[in-house]
Amino acid sequence: MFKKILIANRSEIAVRVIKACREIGIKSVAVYSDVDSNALHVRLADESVPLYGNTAIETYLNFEKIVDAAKKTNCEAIHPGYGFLSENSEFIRYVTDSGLKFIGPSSESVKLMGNKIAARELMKKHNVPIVPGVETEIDSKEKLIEIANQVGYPLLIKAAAGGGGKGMRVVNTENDLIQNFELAQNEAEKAFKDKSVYIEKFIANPKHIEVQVLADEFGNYRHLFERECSLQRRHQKIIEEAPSVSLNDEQRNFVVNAAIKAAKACGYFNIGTVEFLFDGKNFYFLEMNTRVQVEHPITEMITGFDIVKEQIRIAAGNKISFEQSEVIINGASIEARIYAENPYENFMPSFGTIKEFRAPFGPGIRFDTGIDQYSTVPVYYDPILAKLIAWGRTRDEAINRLIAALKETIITGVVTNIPFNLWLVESDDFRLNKFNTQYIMKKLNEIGENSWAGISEEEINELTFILDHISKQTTVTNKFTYSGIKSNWLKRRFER
Amino acid sequence: MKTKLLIENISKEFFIEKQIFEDDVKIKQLSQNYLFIKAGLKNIEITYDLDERGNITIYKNGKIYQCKIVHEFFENELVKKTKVSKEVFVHSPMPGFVSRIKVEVGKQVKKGDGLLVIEAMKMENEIKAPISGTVININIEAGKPVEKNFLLVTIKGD
Repeated sequence: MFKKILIANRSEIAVRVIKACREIGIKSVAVYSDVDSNALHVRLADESVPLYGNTAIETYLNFEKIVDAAKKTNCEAIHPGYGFLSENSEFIRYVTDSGLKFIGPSSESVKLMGNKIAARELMKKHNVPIVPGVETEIDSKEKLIEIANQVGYPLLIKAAAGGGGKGMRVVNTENDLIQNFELAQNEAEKAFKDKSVYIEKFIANPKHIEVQVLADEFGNYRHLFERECSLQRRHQKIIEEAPSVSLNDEQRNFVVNAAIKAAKACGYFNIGTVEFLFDGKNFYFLEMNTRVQVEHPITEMITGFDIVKEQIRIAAGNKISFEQSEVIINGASIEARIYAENPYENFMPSFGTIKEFRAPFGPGIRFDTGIDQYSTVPVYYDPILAKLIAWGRTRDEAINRLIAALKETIITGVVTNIPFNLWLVESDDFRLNKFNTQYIMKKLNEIGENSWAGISEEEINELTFILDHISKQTTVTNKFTYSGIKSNWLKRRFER
Repeated sequence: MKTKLLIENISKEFFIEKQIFEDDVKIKQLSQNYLFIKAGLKNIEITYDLDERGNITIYKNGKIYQCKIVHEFFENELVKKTKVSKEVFVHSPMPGFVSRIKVEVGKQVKKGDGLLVIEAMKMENEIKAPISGTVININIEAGKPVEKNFLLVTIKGD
């Protein structure tokens, strides 16, 4: 087993990996940008190395600085977390060429799966069902229009090197094609240093089903069943659950087997996630994420296996520690991602210094956080702050626990999407499984961007009182107006 | 405690004079941003942020309320300004970096046309023209960082 590893990431996933290291008895080394010098992941690690600079390119995406830091601190391996360099096959080669272990799959597997075009071809060959589309790269506008007409509208432009919704655009008509194509290319270039994009048919109202797989270097393959991540906004997952209540046993059996087939097709080892769209009958291979997934905790909650510890053990050359027959689903788990995004202002990123912080706690509650009350949220990186994971013996129990925990969580100083998460999980649609990947977009279009946030008479009364009290403490004069932008129609004026 | 409260609905205004809490109210300031209120037997736990411009963000029970204190004087000024001028100021809705500017001074734009692209947290956000008109001022350069509410572009309405 490794004695010391470097974690080439930040925020909650870096903290998660540190925890796994502690349990195994591995020393952890954090890296950090200038603004992250006092970040939680830095404070929790055994050692830390500055990367100098603030942009991702200067810091968490910088091959040389990260590998130098690992060598300087005598690390034997690098854990990439998710995002940043986690799915960069050149980085993996750079790490292994410098004599270090990469905690993840081989450069070749990542390259195969990382290029979504190549992955589609490979899946087709190995009888894994795929979304109809065109696998060729697009390099000219004429070709773009030709291919778009061939696939038909609505269609989806996707970054070949993509993931996490970056560089992905839905196009409904030819009028929007060129503009979206350019935006997608730009985003792809920025996020993955690769601007190639491709086009596939847009499957209407699907469910997002994904399977957690594990593989070791001895050719053993296991799955930890599926997760459903259908509640998404702009292709960014918000609420995830395991197991999916949309599948029957036969469908579940089919999709986990398809996932294992996909992993075998690219000679995969380490942990990975095979993503599918599900239209109620058929599954379509979407992509394989060759890294630890943001939503891995819900699988850990229902199976009891520690995915990150298993990942590190596999990378150190060990066999998978369990048999497939030992994996059973116990209860239900739901995760709500907490982002520094303002749900009342079209989910604009929010940044600043955390002022008050209280993590939720209680039976069945797990909180994977990258922040505490001494953290700042910088403008340079992904806006994820933490993940609230609830487990229950039944899905209803998990939902109830999640709602209570979201209400108890305190994060101030930045505006978070907690109120939006609450609105989602408190809805009947969520409780009754009446949602798909288009649900949030359609619902917001239907009721209006900000109208999801209703306000009751009782809330207005309490707010009035609170605002009155706070304003008395400040130097504001007697006459002033309160206007809650939360509900546009509401404007309050006070006189004392 | 007596508070006069005026709620302006879009169509009508009405005037409420009411006592919010009947019983004795105890407010404990747990920290600069954390209040514990006991109104009779009712418990209310809130945290809040207050900035120097009078923006108050209140966090309570998983909900967030963004409020603003506006002096009556400023409010009247604001109303006057929008009435005499047809110029519309486009401000940055978020902090970020200006990655591209798609218009130049003198260009005619239609409502909804893209003006520029601001990148924040790795996402590109296109800022669109709120009205049709002529671009009369561009206050930024591509590649420069902008704060939230920074004046980006001025458009003179048709």
